[in-house]
Amino acid sequence: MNQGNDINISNKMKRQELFAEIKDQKNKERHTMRRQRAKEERENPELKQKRLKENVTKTIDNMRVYDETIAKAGEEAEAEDDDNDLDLMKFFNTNHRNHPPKILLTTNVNAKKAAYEFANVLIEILPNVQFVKRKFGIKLKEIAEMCNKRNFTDMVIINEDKKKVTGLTFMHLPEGPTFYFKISSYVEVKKIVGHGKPTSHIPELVLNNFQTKLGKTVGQLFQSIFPQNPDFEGRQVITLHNQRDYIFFRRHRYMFRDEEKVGLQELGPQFTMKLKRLQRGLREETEWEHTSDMDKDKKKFYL
Amino acid sequence: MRLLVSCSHNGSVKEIVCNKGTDTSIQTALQPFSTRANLISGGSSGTVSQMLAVSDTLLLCARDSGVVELYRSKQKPIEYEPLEGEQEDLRPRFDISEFELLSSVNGLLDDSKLEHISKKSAKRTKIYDTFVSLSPLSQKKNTHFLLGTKSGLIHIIKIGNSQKLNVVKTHELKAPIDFVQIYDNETNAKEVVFAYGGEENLVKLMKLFSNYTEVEKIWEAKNVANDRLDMRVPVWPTALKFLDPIKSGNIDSDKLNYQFVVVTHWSHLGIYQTQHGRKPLHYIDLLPNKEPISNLEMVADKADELTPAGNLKSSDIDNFTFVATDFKKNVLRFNNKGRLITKFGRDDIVGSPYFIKVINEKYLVQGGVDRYVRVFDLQSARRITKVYVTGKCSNVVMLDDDEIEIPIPAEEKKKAEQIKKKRQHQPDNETEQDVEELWDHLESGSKSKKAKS
Repeated sequence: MNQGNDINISNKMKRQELFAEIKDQKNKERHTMRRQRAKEERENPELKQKRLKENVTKTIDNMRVYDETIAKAGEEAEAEDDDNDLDLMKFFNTNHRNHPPKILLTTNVNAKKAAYEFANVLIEILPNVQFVKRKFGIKLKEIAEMCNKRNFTDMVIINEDKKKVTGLTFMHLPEGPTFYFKISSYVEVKKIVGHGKPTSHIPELVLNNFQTKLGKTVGQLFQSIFPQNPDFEGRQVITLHNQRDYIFFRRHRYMFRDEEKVGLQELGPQFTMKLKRLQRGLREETEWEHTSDMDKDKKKFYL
Repeated sequence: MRLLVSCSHNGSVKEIVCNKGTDTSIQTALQPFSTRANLISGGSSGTVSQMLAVSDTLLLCARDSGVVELYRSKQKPIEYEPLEGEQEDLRPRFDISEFELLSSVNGLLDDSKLEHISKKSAKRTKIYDTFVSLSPLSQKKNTHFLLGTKSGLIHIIKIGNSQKLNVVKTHELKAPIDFVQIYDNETNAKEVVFAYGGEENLVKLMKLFSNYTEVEKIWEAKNVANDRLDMRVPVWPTALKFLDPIKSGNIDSDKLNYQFVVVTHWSHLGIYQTQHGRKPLHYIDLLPNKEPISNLEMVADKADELTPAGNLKSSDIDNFTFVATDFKKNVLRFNNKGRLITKFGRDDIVGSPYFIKVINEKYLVQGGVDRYVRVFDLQSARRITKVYVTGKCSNVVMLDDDEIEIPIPAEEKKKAEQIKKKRQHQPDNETEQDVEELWDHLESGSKSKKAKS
């Protein structure tokens, strides 16, 4: 407090009392100021817009280091973007309606209970998925070949270590790319208060804040995994929200209460993914890899 | 500096005109003057995998669609839109190239040959045919070119009269081929020796003769002995560079006299002397965990120590250094003992450095899947230029390294001249006496200060 110098009372109780009084007074002042401002702004909404425009909070997100791969507003950037999409779409299921995704789900070799439990959860989330128990002695290339013969479009591998699920690998078939995500903050459905029960409808997909070239590639991965013709009557949404390179997975059901209000019910589970590695092909040349020295700069983000 | 960069996302070749110190990842740094996409051809299937500047005006491009094209480039001064008002025009003046297709040949790749190889390969995805090398067969005439493909085809192409491309002859070698390296340390008009190799395909030396229409195997390497667990050491040379042949000492005239360096996918450095035998003289592990190595470029300390094909003009196998790349993000300079000397672009390169090339014994050009083209100073490993090219870069050609003059506003120019004049004036009038006086003054000043404190 900048008024600390004025209070020169040796009795601690008295001092605290006085301090509380001053604080209370300040709070009241602030509240009246806000009430006043709200009233003024209600009468003149332009004032509010002006204030919101001027008072932009500095967050780590909006102070991020310049990244030229983020498409800028303007025509030039758009023209460039078309090229980019060609580059990305080559790897993914370009025509979803004719070739819906078909996913093989498996675990690492010698997986424990946690991996299978997580597999159960993913079976509910991913569409058109088939779980296969991983067997010892079959190479990745052989698995990929088998999948190709059976027209699988993607392969998802759960990585479990010391009885905990630590990672997820997404491989696009037949020619990659391969994504490896770290998994953390897993909250199972039971733990979410007031959770609903999901239905088998194809969910809608919300991808938030994937901005850079790398981020868009990751976005494309999720786009290609979920069919692009959602069942709207299911009113289910899967959100993948990227913030500071952490991707938050959430699943909700929405309901229109009236014309303005929308209610949300969480269906669960919740977990957080962090991209660790992106490789060309099926785990071949590294395209991008997270290294510990990337964490040095707190305002540099890659997705 | 003028670079031609092949981008794999739309099969274009970008001409980048920039100065030293350009860095597109920093907004305030110097930006490239021009990044214009040329020669666009139908998406990523038409990626230019090999490029060669035949002369100042001719450019050969080999695309992944199996087409080889010959372009004529024309330099045109850049045209800007006229400025509004009476502003001073401070935009740099330079030339940009325009390309005109002269002729092309197609159908030079064959994917069917790689199908059964793909199944046996350690690579997890299907191997597609691509051009692995494009090099001139003789430096003097510059009309015949050797074009190697992954599927083991060696095309001899010729730029005929009226700039027409045609295939003289196609030789078929053992597939898959990862590199074809021409031996140009000694020039022989009639014969050309080249080396090739690939996955489970040991290094072989071949001789092209009778006007490049016939090819003969003159030497083949032998795999190293089994390891200490008596397991076979896998073979996969990925790049090769020649050195000069042995010049002194016991030279067995019955045997061939070639020296060359090989790096392998299994992280070995192999030094071969054909006089020594078919097995390598040294076979050294370069990286821990046997990480794949994909490129090799020799480093020369002096000018004119590298041949146009990148071979080293020195016969000393105990004293050379080279630059190699791995699959992760490292561009590493090693010495002949396999000891790491420097890393290029550490903390900067994030994706696999797909392409490196040493240019003029001075620069190292690097391009890769992280969509940047970088130019390094070869000796100090300092980065000179970094340009974002929007697509993965598969090949880079440096046309020149001239700096482009940036016009300075008239006022600043005046100021700069004045400062220059002042500086020039001072030393003329200054005599030794003046300097001594100055020193005395300075010394006395410092003494008095000390005394005070």
